[in-house]
Amino acid sequence: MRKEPSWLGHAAERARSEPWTLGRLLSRCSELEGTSDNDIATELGCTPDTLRWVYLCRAPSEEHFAEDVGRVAQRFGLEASRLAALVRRADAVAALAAAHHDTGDAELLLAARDREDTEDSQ
Amino acid sequence: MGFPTRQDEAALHERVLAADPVAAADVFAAFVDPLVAAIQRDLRCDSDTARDSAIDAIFEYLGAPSSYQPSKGRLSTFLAHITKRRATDRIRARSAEARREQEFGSVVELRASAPKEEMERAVAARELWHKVEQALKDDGDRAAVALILDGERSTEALAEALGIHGLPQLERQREVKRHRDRLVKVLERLGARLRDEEGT
Repeated sequence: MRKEPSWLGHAAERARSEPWTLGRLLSRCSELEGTSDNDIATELGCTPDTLRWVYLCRAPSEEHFAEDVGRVAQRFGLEASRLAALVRRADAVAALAAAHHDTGDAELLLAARDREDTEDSQ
Repeated sequence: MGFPTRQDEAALHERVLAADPVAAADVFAAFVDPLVAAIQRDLRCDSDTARDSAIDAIFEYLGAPSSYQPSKGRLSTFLAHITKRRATDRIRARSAEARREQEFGSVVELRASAPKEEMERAVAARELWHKVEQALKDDGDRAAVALILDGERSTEALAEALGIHGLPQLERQREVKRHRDRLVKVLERLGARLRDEEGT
């Protein structure tokens, strides 16, 4: 098993505050959904250390979404479809959070979450 | 672990500019360790400062990759320069914080007494007051001395303590002054005796 560098956790933690990183996008999503890094790692089917490397990557661009997701997935041995679904959801949650912030509509996020829960249970 | 070759650095920078999503992780993998080693060697700073400064430098570069101009030198030199600046800022900030804490600590030490010191002072004050009581048999005198030691300067308060009533104001002031001077003399004598006792 490969030994990860001692600085990896610090860099991944720092990535959460950089707007261009996947770390920012995914951790913001888990923050709003009330889940943890371990939950994200489980969802992606990877170890927490692999997730830290993923956090250091640039978030996929809209123009090259599939290609960007594919590169990250390939490098870190992830299922591209899982990563794509998670990034799409994180984008949606971030957009809803921004809309909520702009409009002050407190019901917006709850409604979105309720809808997700309903879809999940079907 | 050393820096990547000039060609590898250039290729990595091209990938960063092209917004390759994995390039950022590769920059970390390629540069953090050699930057930490270089900064520890040059600045002799602790490993945490070196690590955090190297991470800061790489994020600074990745946030604005076009700020690096390959014509002016290698990427490793550019990153080492930022790392050194960040480390110097950290060291200065920590020194300033330590100085502020030290200054704050001195002020606190001047203003606040340690519990043990306060207790010792209270014991010494009780012993001293016992000597005042031995020197002054009159309750009024003791009350007036207590007021004088508290810094009380009001004629009315001292007159009350000394039981001086029914005199016109001017006479009352003179009477209070006379008693006050007498009591101060008693305290002076008491002080002189205490110094003698300490000296022996």
